[in-house]
Amino acid sequence: MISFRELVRRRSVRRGVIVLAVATAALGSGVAYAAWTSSGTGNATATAATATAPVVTGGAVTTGFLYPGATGTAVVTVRNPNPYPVVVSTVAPNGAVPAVGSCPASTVSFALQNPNTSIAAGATVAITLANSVSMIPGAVNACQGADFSIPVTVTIASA
Amino acid sequence: MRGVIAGAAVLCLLAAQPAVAAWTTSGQGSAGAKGGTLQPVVITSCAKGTGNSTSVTWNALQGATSYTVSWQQGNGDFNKSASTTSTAYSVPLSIDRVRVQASVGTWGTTPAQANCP
Repeated sequence: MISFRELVRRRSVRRGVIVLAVATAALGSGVAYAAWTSSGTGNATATAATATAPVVTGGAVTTGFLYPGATGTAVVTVRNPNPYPVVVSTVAPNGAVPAVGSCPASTVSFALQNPNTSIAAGATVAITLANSVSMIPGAVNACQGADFSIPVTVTIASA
Repeated sequence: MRGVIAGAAVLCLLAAQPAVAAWTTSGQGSAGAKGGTLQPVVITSCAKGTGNSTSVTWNALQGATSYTVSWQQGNGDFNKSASTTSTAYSVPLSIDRVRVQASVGTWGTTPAQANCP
């Protein structure tokens, strides 16, 4: 004759065994669904593009003309040949400004500029640089109306 | 102790920031600039006032920093003059003709002339 307490204990043990069996079955079936995997090593290849230099040309000046002892406006046209946007970080002087007719060389000088002008990929922008260029006080009369070509180096940076 | 750990964590985060370096490149070329020109002066009035004085006015010229006014009495020479940065001048005489010339640095215009009725 089994006591009531013994009966409860045996049921509890049986329930635990069942739970353990179900859990084991579940884990086992998980292995059955797993795909075959393997791994290997190798290299993918990618080549970084190179930055292409901007194309720099002079622009038409319509304001800020130069007079003796005063500053004026310079205009530089910059084309961004790269497939990404850039910012024009500096426009720097690159040697003496050559003579124009009877107006001697170095009558005009250019000062370093930091325009921070944005240029879209492949686009061209005319940058107006006010008060960037100056004319010496003793500029001769032949410099009136002269069109000066100022050598510059333009540096662009990826935006 | 907790503060030390937090500080170390911040330092790790700062050290882990990726370097941000823009691609830069340069090109050479030219910028344009243009020399100004001094246009001739346009005398707008020359009028004798009461007493022995004559008022002269003219238009301002871009770039000009000074104006030279010279005058003539009768058929004499334009041998008296004055300089001003203004666009008006009062000659302390009764004059018959006036000339005004603009200048900046070594640049100067051909004098404009007007009669003073």
